[in-house]
Amino acid sequence: MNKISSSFIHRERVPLIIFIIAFVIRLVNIDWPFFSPEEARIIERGFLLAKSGKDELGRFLPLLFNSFSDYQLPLLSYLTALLEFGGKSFLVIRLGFISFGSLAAVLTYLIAKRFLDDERLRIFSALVVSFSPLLIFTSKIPNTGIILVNVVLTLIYLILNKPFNKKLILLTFLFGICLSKNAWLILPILVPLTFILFTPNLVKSIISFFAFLVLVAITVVFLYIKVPQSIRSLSENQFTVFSDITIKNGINTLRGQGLEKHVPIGIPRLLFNKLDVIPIGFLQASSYFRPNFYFGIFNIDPNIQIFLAGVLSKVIIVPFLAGLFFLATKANSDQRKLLALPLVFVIPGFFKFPEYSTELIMLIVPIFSIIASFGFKKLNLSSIKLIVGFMILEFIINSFYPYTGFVKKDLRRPVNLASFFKSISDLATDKILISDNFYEDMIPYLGLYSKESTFFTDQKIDFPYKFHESKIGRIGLIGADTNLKNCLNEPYPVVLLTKDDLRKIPKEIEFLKEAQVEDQFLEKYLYRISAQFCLKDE
Amino acid sequence: MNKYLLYIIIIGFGLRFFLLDSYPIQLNHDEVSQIYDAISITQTGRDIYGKFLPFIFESIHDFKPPFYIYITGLFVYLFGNNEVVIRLPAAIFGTLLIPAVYFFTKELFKARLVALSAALLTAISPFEIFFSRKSFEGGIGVFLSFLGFSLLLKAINSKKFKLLFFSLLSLSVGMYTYFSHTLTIPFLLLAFSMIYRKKIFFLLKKTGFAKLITALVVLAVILSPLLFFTLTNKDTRFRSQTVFISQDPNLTNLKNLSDSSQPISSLLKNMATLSFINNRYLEQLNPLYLFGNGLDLTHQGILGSGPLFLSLLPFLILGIIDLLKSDFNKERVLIFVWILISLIPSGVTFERYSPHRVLIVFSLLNILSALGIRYFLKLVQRLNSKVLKLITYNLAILILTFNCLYFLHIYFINFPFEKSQSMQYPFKEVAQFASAQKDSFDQVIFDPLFGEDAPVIGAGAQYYLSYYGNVPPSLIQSQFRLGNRDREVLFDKFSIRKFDWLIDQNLQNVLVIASPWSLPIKDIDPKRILKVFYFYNHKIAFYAVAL
Repeated sequence: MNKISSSFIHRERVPLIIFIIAFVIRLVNIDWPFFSPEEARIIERGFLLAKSGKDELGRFLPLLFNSFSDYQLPLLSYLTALLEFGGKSFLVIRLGFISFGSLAAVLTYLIAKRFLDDERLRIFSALVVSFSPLLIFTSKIPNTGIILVNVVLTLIYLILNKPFNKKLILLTFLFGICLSKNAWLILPILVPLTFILFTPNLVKSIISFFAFLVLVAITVVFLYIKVPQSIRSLSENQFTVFSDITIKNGINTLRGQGLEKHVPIGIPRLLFNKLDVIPIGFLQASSYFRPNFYFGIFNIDPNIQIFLAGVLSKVIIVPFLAGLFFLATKANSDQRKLLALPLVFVIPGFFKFPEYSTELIMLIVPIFSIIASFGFKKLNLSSIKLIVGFMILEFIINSFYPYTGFVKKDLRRPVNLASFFKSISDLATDKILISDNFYEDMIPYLGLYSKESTFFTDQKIDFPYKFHESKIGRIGLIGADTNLKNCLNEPYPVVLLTKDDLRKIPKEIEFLKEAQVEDQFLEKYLYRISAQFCLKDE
Repeated sequence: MNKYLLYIIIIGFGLRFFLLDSYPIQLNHDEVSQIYDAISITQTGRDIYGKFLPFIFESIHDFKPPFYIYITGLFVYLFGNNEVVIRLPAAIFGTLLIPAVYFFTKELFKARLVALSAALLTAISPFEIFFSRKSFEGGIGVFLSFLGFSLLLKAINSKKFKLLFFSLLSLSVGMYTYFSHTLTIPFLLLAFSMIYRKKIFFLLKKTGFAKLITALVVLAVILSPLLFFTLTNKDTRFRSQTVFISQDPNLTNLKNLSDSSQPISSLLKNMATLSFINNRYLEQLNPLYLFGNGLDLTHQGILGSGPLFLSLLPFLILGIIDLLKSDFNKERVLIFVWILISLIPSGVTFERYSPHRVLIVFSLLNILSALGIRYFLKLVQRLNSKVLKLITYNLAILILTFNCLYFLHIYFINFPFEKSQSMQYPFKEVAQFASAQKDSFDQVIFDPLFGEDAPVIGAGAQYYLSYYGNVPPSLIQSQFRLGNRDREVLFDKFSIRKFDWLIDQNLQNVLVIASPWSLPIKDIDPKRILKVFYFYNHKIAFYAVAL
């Protein structure tokens, strides 16, 4: 390691160089990935907010937003809106989030300064973050995870660097709390713990500050649970271990079998009861550290399309294990304390079962990167060169996937339907009817590609928990329970139906159909019907 | 012998032999095929397909390594034909593993407490109890591996060549027991030789290289049939191909998705295979699998049992830390290299988790946990308060006891309810009934399509009918043949095939045993139903209908 000269790097410029490297890495295949419906909704919402201050439901500067599965906290949408003040541009959105991703690499470097003496090792930790397939992917799409990584790293950095700035810590803390519900459980523990671990002499003097932070978090949570459906939202999305039906049924089944075999009633009750959520939660949280997530294939989140890659480059397993060995044997106590941070990050994972939160795994990446950098102390120069070489090689190979059949056939990010959605939005007609069973959640895409943005719906919905839009401006969707009728007053001149929905056309009407769109992977066709219809309930 | 070790062995013996004939509740298709092959070998010298002293035994959609069947043949010869005989070798070697782990750990770390803890964990571990109570051949290989390496360590420490010879003998025989041992033992030996090269060289220098050459010749003689058959036997090759990771449907789908017209397509496909191997290898260390439900004893998701006790997880972590911090440099490398090599068989096979291929890894994790227990005791000793010490000790013992109780309930009470179908319950009862009734009918048709919630074809029905019907293996060897009907095999009066009510309802003087998936039971005169067979959870499995 000593043979490497670092004199060519001016230390002041290192953060900038790291930022540029991470940024450039993320520019490769910048059009990939195609946005998911949820991301398209956020982009379109951001544009609406920037333009009019209203969201897709016509609400003025709301504090809770709609998503397909849950309420969404406000910060992501408003941050996206900030990026769209100049107009709707996918490139600007991508570059904005790429900046967040690149900033995470810089923050990792800055935090590593506290733990690593060798400048080259600090740079290496930032490089590992820069080349992380998961963080590269999430740096190109609007998501809370990549911002939360920055929030958490900023907090750690602010605490580690004296004199610490209470106002800045408070602001970052509040930012995080308004960004992600995972932050509600992480930040109130992370901040005091980081102080206790790394600046123990200051702890006594800032206990009131901790109390204030906790109070802030409690206030936000309290405001949230005042909202209708909020308890249900938490139960269905964040604290699923308590509501998971398979656990409840399992307990009853196993207990019943004991009773059937005449086991004394107390034993099955003692063994199988509600307290089982404790070991289950513990196991679930500990399984966030399963090595195949990081160095194998990360495939538990269908929304994340990193193909055969893990969260980190596969080859990083070598310095990572060496780093763990270093921490167990030769590290100082400060360095060892670093291991406590990932444990805090997986606290929300204790309550979320059986799903995993990708956000939490993203938080672990920078800490694992620093641990891997410790490992480089144990390796010789040739090994280091080889590892960096493999890391770059894996990145190059992964860069080929977006051009293969893998991407085209992903229904969650239907890139092959982009031109269709665009053509629909471009149609110069007044009104269009489309079968909604063609694609699960197409309204956000139609909004995304429309030239003049229109509110998705004019319905007055103050608290849209799991609200699914079925209308956008002049485009109406035909759902399973809506029927068509022959209509003379303001009919829809363009009607696009799937084969299943052809049955909805009243029998007395003659119509012609022509194949309009076909998608072999979806195995569905849309037929353009040459007759004019209305929806029956209109 | 150390009295504590003796107590531990007694506990281990009890957990392995208690109601061994009743739990698991019935011989599964592997067990029944093995015992019938063992009887066939004992009586005729041939397997049921007529092959003379085969090196590999054809089983149900599978091939079995020879060691377990031959040793069961010996047990059948000694103790007579009894169901429990098929489970005896696994239970005996499972019990013997306890002292083997003790001696290995003691030889490695020179610490009696650690060795005793490792022996205790081996005695009570879920994976050990589970695999020692069924006729699983890999367990014997685990015992022989520990025995071999204990002797090897003893040989180089005490500089006794005789022990080296016996260790190599033990490891060579271990390679015959199970395919994963065939693959891993040579690598382990190589790794061991590299780690302890100086000591080995010193031993050989002391005893003379002539002895080494003699030992190697003996070893080559023992291993030559294994090498010969592994390299030339098409059944062995077929077996390897059928379990290789390329059979993974997810990998196949992924490869099919890639666009073959792309110039880089073949590279990406090969990358996919390598990535899957790497991922599968690492996935074996998933805590949910190791400590949650890895033994697959229930259908209740995470509520089940893993190969290891969840309460051992903190001790395992402490043990790893302790070993990393210790001065046992060679020992440390040996343990970790052993784990890494032993995980390979699971990494290259198509099943997501295959605990039966990595039993030895679990044993090694138990040894690490034993180190953790010692470390934990050291930490507790540092506590100033006696009350706190007492509470900590009792709490640890309470949690471990609770874990044991939990597993025993799952194994003895819930497992039979949950997995009776996968054990092919009630095939034994069906076979006994069919054999008792066959003289009253011209033919007995058995359709093994059955299932609690969805139909599956039960495997190895011919073995159940033959074994429980006391059909002589010589008869099977001469009569067993394929029929013309869908999946039909015939022997004696039995026809095992798909039963089609529309075609077969007019058959005369035939006993049909089929499930509600094959029989329109509402259309059948209740008087014709001779017997109803139930799953362990009382759901209907089969009807016996007289035509």
